[in-house]
Amino acid sequence: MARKNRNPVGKNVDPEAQKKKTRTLTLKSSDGQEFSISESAAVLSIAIENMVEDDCAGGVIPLPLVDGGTLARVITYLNKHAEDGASDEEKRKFDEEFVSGMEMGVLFDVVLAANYLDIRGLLREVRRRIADRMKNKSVEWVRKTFHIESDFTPEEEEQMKKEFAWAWEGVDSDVDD
Amino acid sequence: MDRGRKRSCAATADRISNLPCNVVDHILTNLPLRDAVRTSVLSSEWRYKWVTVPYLSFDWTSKANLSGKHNIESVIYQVLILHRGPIIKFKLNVVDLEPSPAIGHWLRFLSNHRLEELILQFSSYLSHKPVPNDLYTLDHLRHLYLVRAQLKSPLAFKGFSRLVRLDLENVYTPYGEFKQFISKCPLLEYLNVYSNSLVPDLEIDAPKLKLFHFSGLFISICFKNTPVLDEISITLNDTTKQAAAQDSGYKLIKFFGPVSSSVKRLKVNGNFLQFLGGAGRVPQKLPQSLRHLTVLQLSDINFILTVEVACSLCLIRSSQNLQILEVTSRTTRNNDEEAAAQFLKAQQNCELTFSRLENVKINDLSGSEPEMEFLKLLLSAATALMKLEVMSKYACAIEEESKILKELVRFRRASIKAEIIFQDRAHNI
Repeated sequence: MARKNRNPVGKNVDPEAQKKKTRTLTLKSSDGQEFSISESAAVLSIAIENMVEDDCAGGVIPLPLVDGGTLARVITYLNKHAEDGASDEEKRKFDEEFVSGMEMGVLFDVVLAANYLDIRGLLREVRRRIADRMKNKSVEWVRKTFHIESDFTPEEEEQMKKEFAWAWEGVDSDVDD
Repeated sequence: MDRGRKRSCAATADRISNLPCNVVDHILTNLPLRDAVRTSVLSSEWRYKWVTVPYLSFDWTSKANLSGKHNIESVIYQVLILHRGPIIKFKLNVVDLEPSPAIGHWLRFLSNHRLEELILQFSSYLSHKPVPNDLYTLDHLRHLYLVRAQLKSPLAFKGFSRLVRLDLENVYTPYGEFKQFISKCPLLEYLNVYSNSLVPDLEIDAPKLKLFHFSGLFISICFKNTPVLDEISITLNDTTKQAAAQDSGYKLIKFFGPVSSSVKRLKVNGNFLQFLGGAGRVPQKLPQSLRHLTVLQLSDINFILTVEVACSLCLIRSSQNLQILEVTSRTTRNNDEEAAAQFLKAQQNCELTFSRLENVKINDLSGSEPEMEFLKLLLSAATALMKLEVMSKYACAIEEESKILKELVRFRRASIKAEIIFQDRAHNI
């Protein structure tokens, strides 16, 4: 399978890049809200970049799978990462704070949006945050937090736990952090 | 921002199970292996989700993590047998781990999975056993990190044609092996070697090498074919292992010759300078200047030893584009300060200028005469100096510090912009 390997945006050279900074696009969420965003920030999403390139945008880009609240968050992220002069260190700090306050439901909204819009950096950050929340937690905690319903009988579950007994060593008490 | 945001109507729905596969895969990849394995009992849908994680990390460094009742070998066999799909990264860092036939089996298995990154951290300090030869069949490897083992490639080893990064920590290499091994990794860009045991022959033939860090002991060192090497850091732990240098000064020239047009950042310690300088006369300048060198760090310099001072000066003089210099002193004051101080005084007449040097930092200054002469020389020759930071030695007496400071402010400065920052340590105890 050929892997898509586009240049990360923002590395483009000159006049075109300058134009992107000044040109604005309008993104329309599933619930009809419209957001203005500079093209240079918007195209950090590979999906949006493709739409712009294919010129199927016509000014307003509809994003039927992203609701307004989530889109607002995503745009905050994109703007920060397209900001001139923001150092890598600054961006890293921003990323950390950006995801650390999010509730699990919001993390899921954002991870879905980032996946759909193909925003690699954001996707990476949110996935890591979700994994961090799951680390060292008991099966019961994960089921409760993620509303996963078990369809195993207690006997089946016991059998599987025995099979992987080593994976059950040293599980913390389920303090949510 | 959140105007009109819909309340998440699915607050109670099982959302994680419905995430796209690639997202779930990545979440599982970010989890420690045992957490990933535990997800198998969440529900039948989750039963086999973990078996495709491409990173397998067995990281059990303390007994607390894995009690004795589990046999680590069978755990690893179990995971490998159940695993499906590519394995990109494999890490083994387990308490009391030694090279064994089982590890050979796993490596062979991984080689069929086109493994790209391998971390093997063995724990035996005593017997550096060779890694099983199956290691050398991993021909998709891009990064190898080996701790406490022996590297001894078989004659038929064709090389790691894709290896970009190699980290060796306390890895024993028999004579000839290091040179041989490196020359069979044509794409190598990063090479880190930390060793308590002796690496006999550090001969480096690596046309793509960008970075070389070494800390440990060797008998000889040379760069054979390293046209793009721009960062070098060498810490020699001891000076007794090397043969007494008769070819004084020559080693210095021979060592820097092959990297003179590529090196941008250089860090060396006093022991290594002693090794390079030998017993005799050190040249004022290298015949081939280090014209791209911008950052020079000299660590653990004993200013009492003229050879270390002379080599330091030779490097600074040979680097006309040097911008940042950081020196850490390891000087204990005694009665032998005279020779090095005289040497430095004699340099004052050599009409030196360091026209690009902007930042200088001197750490752990003891206030000895040669250290002060060195500072005097720098201040009088660095015409573009912006900042000189001086930090006295830990436990330096207050009277001593004020003496250093008084002397320091009297030195002539070639740069009118130079700011001197003196950080005292004595009062913080």
